[in-house]
Amino acid sequence: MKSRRQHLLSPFISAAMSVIPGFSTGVSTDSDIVVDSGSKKFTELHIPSQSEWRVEIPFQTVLKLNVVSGIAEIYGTELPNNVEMTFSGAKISIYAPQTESNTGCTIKYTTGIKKSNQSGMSSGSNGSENEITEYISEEESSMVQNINLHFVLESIRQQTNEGPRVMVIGNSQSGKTSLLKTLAAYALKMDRSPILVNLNPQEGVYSLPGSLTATPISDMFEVESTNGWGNTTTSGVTFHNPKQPIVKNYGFEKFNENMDLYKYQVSKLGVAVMSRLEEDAEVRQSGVLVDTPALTIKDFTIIENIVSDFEINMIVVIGNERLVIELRKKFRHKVNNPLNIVKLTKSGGVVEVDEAFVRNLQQQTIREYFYGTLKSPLSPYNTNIDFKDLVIYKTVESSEFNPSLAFLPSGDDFTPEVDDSDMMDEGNGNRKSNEFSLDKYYSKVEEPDASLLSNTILAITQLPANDKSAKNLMNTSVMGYAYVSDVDDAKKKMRILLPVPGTLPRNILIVTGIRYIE
Amino acid sequence: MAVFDQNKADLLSDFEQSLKELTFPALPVIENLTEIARENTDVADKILQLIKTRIAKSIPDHKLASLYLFDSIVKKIGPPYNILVGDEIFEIYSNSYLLVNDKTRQRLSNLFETWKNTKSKGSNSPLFPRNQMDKIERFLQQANKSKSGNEGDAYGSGSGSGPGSGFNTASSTAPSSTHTTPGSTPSLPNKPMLMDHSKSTLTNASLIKDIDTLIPFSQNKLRNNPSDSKLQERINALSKLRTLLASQNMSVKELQTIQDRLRNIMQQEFGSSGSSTPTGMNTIPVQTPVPVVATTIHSSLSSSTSPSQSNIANEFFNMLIASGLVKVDQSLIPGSHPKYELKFPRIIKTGSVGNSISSASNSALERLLYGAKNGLTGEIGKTSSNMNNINNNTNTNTNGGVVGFETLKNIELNKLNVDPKNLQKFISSNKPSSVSISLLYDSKPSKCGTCGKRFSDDENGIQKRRLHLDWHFRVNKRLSSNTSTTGGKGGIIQSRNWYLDGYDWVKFKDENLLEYSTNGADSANAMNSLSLSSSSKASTPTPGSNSNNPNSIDGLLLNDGRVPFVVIPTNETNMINKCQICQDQINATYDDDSGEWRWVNCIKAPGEGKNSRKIFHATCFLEANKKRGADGDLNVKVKREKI
Ligand SMILES: [Zn+2]
Ligand SMILES: [Zn+2]
Repeated sequence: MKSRRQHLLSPFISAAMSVIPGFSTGVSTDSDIVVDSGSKKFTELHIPSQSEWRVEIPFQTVLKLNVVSGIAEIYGTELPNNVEMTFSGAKISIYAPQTESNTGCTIKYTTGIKKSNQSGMSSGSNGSENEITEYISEEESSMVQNINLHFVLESIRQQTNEGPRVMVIGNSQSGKTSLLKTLAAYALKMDRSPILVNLNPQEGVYSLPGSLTATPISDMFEVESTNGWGNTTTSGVTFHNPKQPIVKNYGFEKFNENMDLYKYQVSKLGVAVMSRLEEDAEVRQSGVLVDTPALTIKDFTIIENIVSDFEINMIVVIGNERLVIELRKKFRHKVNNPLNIVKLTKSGGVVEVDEAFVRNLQQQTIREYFYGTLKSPLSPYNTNIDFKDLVIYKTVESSEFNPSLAFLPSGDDFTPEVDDSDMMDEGNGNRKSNEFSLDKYYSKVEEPDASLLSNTILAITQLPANDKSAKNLMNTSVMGYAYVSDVDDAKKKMRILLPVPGTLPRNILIVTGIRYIE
Repeated sequence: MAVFDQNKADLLSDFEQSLKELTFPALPVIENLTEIARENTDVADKILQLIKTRIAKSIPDHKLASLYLFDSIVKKIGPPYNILVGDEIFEIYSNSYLLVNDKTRQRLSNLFETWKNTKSKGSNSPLFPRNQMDKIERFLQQANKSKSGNEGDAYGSGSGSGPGSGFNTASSTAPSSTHTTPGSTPSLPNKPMLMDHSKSTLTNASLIKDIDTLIPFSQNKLRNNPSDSKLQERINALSKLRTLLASQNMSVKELQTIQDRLRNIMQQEFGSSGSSTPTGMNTIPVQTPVPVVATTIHSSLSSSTSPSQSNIANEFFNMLIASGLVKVDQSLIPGSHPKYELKFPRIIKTGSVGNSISSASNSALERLLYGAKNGLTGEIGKTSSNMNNINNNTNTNTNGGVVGFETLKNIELNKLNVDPKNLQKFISSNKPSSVSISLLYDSKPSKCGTCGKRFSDDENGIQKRRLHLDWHFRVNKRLSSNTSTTGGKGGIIQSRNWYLDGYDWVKFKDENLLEYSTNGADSANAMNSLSLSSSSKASTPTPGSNSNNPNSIDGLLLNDGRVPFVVIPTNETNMINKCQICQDQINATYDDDSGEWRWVNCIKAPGEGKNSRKIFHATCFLEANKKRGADGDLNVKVKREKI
């Protein structure tokens, strides 16, 4: 029952192009979106109950939609009725849940092109890449299992005083993140606020790509923002309630680019999350939802680490029967500390995302970090800074540290020589701290220059100035990110974009492998 | 096929919406709806049903508009509409006639005259069946007779419906006591039928008695028709009145005002059911209604709101009118705008229930007014539901019968009976019932019109919803004021905060981020004072980490969301300054918007002149002040000194 339709765009022309004052960087922001007020032609569409409207909106294209009647949700987050919502650079699925009346929902939508891209598209394009692709798909079975899983989690919350701690495993693009969003959104509707942990550094969740984060989901997702997450706190007011994550630096987008660092940061994030659960009864009762990169049985050590770091008591495997069997076998010993392993069938509606789309999403995520969303625009701050005032580290790639390791299958036979007991022990960490070596994780940059820094994202650590402890560097979290827009090797200066006005509040920075082009 | 049906369903629901917005005979709307009726004769029966329902259920002052629409459709289109309505025309006409004021009655009489001379479109047969027309004729004769019989009556003066009295006079000829049997000619009263006219008998107790008669009646009706929200609102309004009466001493004037509300509710009660009136109603025709507080809302309300919003606004108004908080005065010239007055019961001093209701109602109304004036559409719909919830709250307090969401959820989860030993089976094979699915949707029936968030109808939900709407209101106000003062999107100057460090994050409570936070409410009242931003406010100070907490440097902002700054005088030559407290150097920043040079994150030392160079970091100033205070209260607020 799939019918694919292509929509031609009406060529919108904007009378006035708005540019955020104070920033002549040529960055396009959401306010550059052409809003055609006169001749807007809305297409009305009925989504039958338990069906999903899948739509792919290119980055240059803007889709505006209204829920005219009925209930519509995006990954469990209900959309307001008769409110115009704007989407761009997104693949979204609007689902009409089963209700008493079972009448589905009706939406209307229209499309346009972002102003800033109208002139810039010179590459002989006929505009077809700006067309949205959309179709309706019947989704009863996969949504039913999501709802059932939600009820399982909610009964656990009801029956115990510790919420479920769930980890989702599946191939890339198997719908892990969508499932977790749905579960978190449903939990929210039960008046819960679970912590959403993102261990997939390819996506920045309330942060930038390259980070590992944990965020209590205490209010709705902002479905219109990049990847449908939303804002963290700002200096002013935001249209939606913001979220408050903790951010750990990893610095790469693939978990196996430096597995030592990855595992280390996962464990430190686990410590933070478990401590938060101790402190915060509401969050403890709501539980933890952990998103992961595409892990296979070859990455069992990582799976095992995550299970122990976050005291996981349920693993949900999406669409991989074999992995379920293997995991049940390997976790057989966990009888005293029950670990449920359940599987969900992969939703037919999981959209294939190509490499270019992932890149664009990452760029959009970074832009949103500095410039905010359409509904809550933010003003970042440009400043010049001398290298001499800074202590700069960079993340080591495994291949740099030990080239031979780079050729091993990811995760196989590669157990880092890390003394966990020492690392976990922050209180009296002096015992071995002199011997602790940064080599596997970070290296100090003695001569920063343009070739290293240009267009990179810098993680600003929480470390106070002149803290020289390697251990502290490993254990610190990220205070924020800066973007290096210009490097002057002669003057040994660089120009950086900061999210917050003022001087750089910390001087210990980590160069990440994440790049951004304004 | 399904798509076709859906289109029709949508069309009908649009039509129904438009009907609800048709509160006065607006020509364009009537013409438009007539056209829709013409183009969709395949669903003529359904369209007709919507109109009949609207005529029957709308409040008396709104009936004329839908009757005019009805008239327009049967005259301009004719078949099938006039044929379909056929034998019901008498009932529709007479039921409406009984409930409207004299002025409208005159219009209805005129309308009937036009029907006599109209032929069914495209034929030579009469518009409506002969026997029906005759019935109406006889009915009108009797009505006129009884009316003229009443005219000499001392109480007949209520028929005047000039400005300031239109709402209350609707019942002056008191047709609400009429025993109407569908399909038969009602016998109109030959004498004024409501008893106990003397003012001396009008007491709190007598009105409570009347309410006690009305409530069970309405509740019974609600049981038969549980989805009728209007009915629910009426019961709520009654309960509220009863609470007020039971707890207050009132002047005769106040009692009269209340009595008039009561009569209005009564009218609607029996107007839509066609059943008989309970006896024992105290009734006095009121010549001069006494609004305790009267505020005139300009009729620009309806024109300044977008269609979908104004619909919700109208529903809200209907409800307020029904509860007597808003008085409507409408000149019945087609196309004219009704005038509204607000009437706040002054009354409430004792009784916490009544008190909270009153203040909530007032703020809801104020918000409504604010929204109307400032074009902040979206607020209206929410205040409407807010109001609704307040009423429900009253209802809960009076009748004590709402099952909380938490209870509902627990019952349903227990029913699901998830086997912890076999979760896989449950996940793969459970067929969720519509009841369990509704936990995610309808069990929280109030959905925010702005963001889609749902709220339950229990006390917790009502409370949260109120805070939520207040929060939207504050945010919108701030966002819009930021925008308007600097003219454009660039006016909102705010930036992302730094993330918390591990320690602060572990100690952080997300309630400080949300609209339920009391901090938020405080700051709304203190627009001109300084306070720490939410993130640093919530982070617990720790020895050692306190002085270099990044958020205490950058998280400081004015409560309207701007970063504090000192404008550097144009004659100043030294742009570099220092903080008088920490002695750190402060560099100048150029602000493109204003063309000013500024020392950002700073405030001028209190009492210093315009050209003084004495400045502080805002944070340093706050810290210093805090230390001066007897306790280390984190929420200490410092009055922003005049600069
Ligand atoms: Zn809302
Ligand atoms: Zn200072």
